[in-house]
Amino acid sequence: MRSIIHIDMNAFFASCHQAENPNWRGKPLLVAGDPQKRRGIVLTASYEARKYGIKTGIPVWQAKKLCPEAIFVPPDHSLYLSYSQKILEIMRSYTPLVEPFSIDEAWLDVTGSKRLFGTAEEIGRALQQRIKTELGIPSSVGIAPNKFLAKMASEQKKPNGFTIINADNMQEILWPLPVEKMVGVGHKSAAALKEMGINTIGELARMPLHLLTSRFGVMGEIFFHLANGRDDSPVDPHALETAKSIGHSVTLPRDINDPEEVSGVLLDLSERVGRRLRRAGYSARTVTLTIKDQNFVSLTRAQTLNKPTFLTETIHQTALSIYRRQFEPWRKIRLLGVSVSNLQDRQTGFQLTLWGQNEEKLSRLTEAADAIKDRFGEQALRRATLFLHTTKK
Amino acid sequence: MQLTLPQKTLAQQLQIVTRALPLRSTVSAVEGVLFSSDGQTLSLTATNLEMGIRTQINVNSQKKGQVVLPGKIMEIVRRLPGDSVSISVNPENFLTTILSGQAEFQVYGLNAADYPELPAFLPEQAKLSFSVKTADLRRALRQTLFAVSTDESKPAFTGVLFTLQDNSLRLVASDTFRLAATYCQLEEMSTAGEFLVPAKSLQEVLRILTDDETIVQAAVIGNQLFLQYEAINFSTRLLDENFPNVERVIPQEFCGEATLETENFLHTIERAALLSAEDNNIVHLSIGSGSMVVRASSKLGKIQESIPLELEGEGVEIALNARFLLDMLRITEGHQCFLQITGPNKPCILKDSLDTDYLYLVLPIKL
Repeated sequence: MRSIIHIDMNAFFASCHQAENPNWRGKPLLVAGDPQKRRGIVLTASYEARKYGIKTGIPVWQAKKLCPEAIFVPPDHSLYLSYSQKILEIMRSYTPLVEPFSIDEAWLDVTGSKRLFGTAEEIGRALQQRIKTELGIPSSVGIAPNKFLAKMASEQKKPNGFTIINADNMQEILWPLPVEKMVGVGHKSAAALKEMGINTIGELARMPLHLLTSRFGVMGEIFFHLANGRDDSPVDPHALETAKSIGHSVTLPRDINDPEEVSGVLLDLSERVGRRLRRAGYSARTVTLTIKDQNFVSLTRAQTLNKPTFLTETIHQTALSIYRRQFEPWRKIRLLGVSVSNLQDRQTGFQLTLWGQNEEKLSRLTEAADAIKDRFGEQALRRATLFLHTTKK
Repeated sequence: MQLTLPQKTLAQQLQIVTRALPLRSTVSAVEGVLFSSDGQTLSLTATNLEMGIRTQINVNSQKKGQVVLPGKIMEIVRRLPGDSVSISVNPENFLTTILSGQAEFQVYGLNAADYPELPAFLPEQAKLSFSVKTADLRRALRQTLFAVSTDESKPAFTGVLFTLQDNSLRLVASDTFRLAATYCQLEEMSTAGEFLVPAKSLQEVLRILTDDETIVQAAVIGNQLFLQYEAINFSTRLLDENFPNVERVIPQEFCGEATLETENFLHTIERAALLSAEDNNIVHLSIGSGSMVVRASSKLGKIQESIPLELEGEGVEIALNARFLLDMLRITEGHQCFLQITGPNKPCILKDSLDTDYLYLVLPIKL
């Protein structure tokens, strides 16, 4: 039996600022786009601020109304990155098997560390304690025999949670949860599951497997095993580095060749790709476009950028320019795919320009949009061009 | 065509024209060099359809004719064993025999009729014209070419803006992150005007020009810039793009100015660049009275170094791309350079003490 720990930092961005500035500890603190201008939205709220009903994604003016004494700070990515690095250093002192999942969470496989450092529970307690005392960052810890259950465990209680899931309590903790709480089940899948009358993870676990596979294919099988607490994926310390590319593709409901419509689909795909890219804290240097036409003839072309990007706009513009250059406009398209590769850690700072797009502004806008989507779901905020497209016809 | 000429002369001229050869072309004749003799002069032509180079060599009255020989002809001539080289072309099949010492080459030539016509140099149709010393033009190109953009999606910034005014030529290049502007004193000049020249073509001009007092004659005809220099005729297509207003972005007022020893500054930034983060090569400069502290850090570690300076006015904390600084410091000729400061997160200007008309503006990295 493996021992996997999942640690999730609580209100990470806000916690970093509080850790950095002792005067802000224990006070409501909000990381927000542009606090001076009163516009902008809340990216992260400290737990003290959440007591006032302030949530990620609400506008700054509303947050000020809810809690006039709140401290507002602008986001500082280099600060978050440096804390993230320090946290990983602490984790790596217990095991080399540390898999960062995003800037503020990671898995550890401590199966082989027990003789050196004690039981998984002891290691988990020590980690939580050290991250709190040495760095001042609160976290929630989940311990379980696999990655899926460990992550589900750390989700149980925030902040400062500590949850162990094992064979004895797995059904008790996991099964009453609604399916949308299950890691790996997105909005669409959750809706489809509910249509089938499956509302909780327990109901999913007791479904006949063939009904799930006939509806969801391979994913159905994956859902089934996860719901039953089975996951044998290894903790891979190089997962992020080996994630050589991030991509999304879509088979269209009907073949299209209207350039505007193509652009709309590419924008949607670029946004999904960009979201995952940003979540992982990366930027990418290469954009690849895949097109399959009505005769199943496919074309894959890549373009390498002058400098790495994490912006949806740049990914979209690049994919679009490949499409314009490489694809005959009269051919009807059946499938479109956008992916990015040549990944690297996202750099800090913005090179200012004399003329041209203001990268800093775009990046802040993107951050705000991501926060809204994190909080309210992917449909909460959509680009007007995409909206125009779906209502047309 | 039949002619004999010194091997060295031909090799030299071929080395110049083949700079215009494309790596590959859709027209196979374009991948070769056009040899054309009127009996008195042999002219050699190469073009990548964007720029073209033609040079002329005097040959004593010999059989005239034309042929296109593959680009490899440069290598062939360079390695010939004899002091002189004889070239004869069979006009039926363009088979070309090249004799030198005991070596005999037979090269399959192509029909010169398939060779594209280069834009004609018709001085009477020139919109603009000027002449300048080669050494002066070379200096100006060296001071600006490094600042152009290689990003084809911003075509205007892949060129150097030439502005003729008041008997001087101003060259401006920018990749939008920094801007280099310099001047050349002109020998002669027509009316005022401006045009945008592809940097790629100018790179070749820089390689061809010698560093002396020879005069280059230049003219803009149609959408082409022509340069005539000794026996060399150079032409390049101009960029049909709008270059944004340069004056508007150059600050006129500064809050501080630091004077530094060029070599000292250069070596410090070179050291800091070793540990600056890969992508935008960030170096932090803390400029105070008497000294500047340079800091950089990357995955590998950190560096901090302090260098002396003289400061007038206010200092600044600023982060810059080390490569941008190095590009300019490496070509700075004066012992000193001046760093003009306009404030944090605002542009700064670097100047060479030996050529204070030369301006190099760098935008910082906002953290």
